[in-house]
Amino acid sequence: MNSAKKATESSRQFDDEPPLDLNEALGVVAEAEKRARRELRGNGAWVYLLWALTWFLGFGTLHGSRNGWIPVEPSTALVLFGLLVAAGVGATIVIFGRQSRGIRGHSTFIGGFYALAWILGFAVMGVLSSAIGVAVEGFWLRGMLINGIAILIVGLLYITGGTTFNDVVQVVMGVWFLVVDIASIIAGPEHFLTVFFIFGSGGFFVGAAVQALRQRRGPVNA
Amino acid sequence: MPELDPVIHAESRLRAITTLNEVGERNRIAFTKLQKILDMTAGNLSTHLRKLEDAGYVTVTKTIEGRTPATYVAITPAGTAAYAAYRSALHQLLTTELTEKS
Repeated sequence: MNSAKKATESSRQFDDEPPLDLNEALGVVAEAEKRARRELRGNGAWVYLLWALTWFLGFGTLHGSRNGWIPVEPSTALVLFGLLVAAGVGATIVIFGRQSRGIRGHSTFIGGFYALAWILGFAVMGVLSSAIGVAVEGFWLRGMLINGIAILIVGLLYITGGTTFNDVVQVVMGVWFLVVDIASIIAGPEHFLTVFFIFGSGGFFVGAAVQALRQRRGPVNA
Repeated sequence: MPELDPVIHAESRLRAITTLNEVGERNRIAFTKLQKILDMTAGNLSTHLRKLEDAGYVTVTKTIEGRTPATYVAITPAGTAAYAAYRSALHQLLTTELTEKS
């Protein structure tokens, strides 16, 4: 009797589940892994798509306002951008909150401090933004500087998150955002929004597509 | 020829231990969440977890969250090792089967 048959016979002594052949066992493992990863790690593709749309609409409105393509004042466009980002943050918290519910231990510790890093990073950015608001007069130069700091935090935390949670897509996106950040600052106050509208939201769209493909492919090996 | 661990080699327990392996040794998962992921009845899941627990592959702990009792399940280091050995044996047996067919 080969070992697969022996294992099947032995497992039948434990319960009355139907016998499992080798290929079925491989299928069970692949399906269970795929489902567990989806339930435990959430759907990263949706989070990236959410932020792609947030940046596309937010930077798009500012970009359109800056160039006079849409009848919206820059200050109104900025408020709209802020509201979109706030909605994106809220939705992200809900998604990750649902995903981490029912799990205790080391990942709770890591996730908690990673979330705290985001909160602290943007708290520092808020204080810096106030100082920049007082020190810098030009509306678009101010915007470029504040945006530059915000994306620096986003890029660094994406790289940190990617290395912590072993997610290469997140690491690459973090690197991409930092490169786009440098390019936007070099482009200057006149064009930084164009750079972010195209390459910032574009990075999120590509990241969402790549992540969706990776999630669909799932584990295949024994 | 490698042997397939009979404690693991049954669909429900294989699904359960695969999921617990994804949760990781350093974490524990609420019984209700595990039940939802595996789409099993509470009774059925309890039965299979008891078999895995008897083999030393998982630990089941009961706690109180607020005023509600909660049960958490975690894979043990022995469970992780047994699961890795099972995966390795499965891989080897499938490779042998393929080689014999060709």
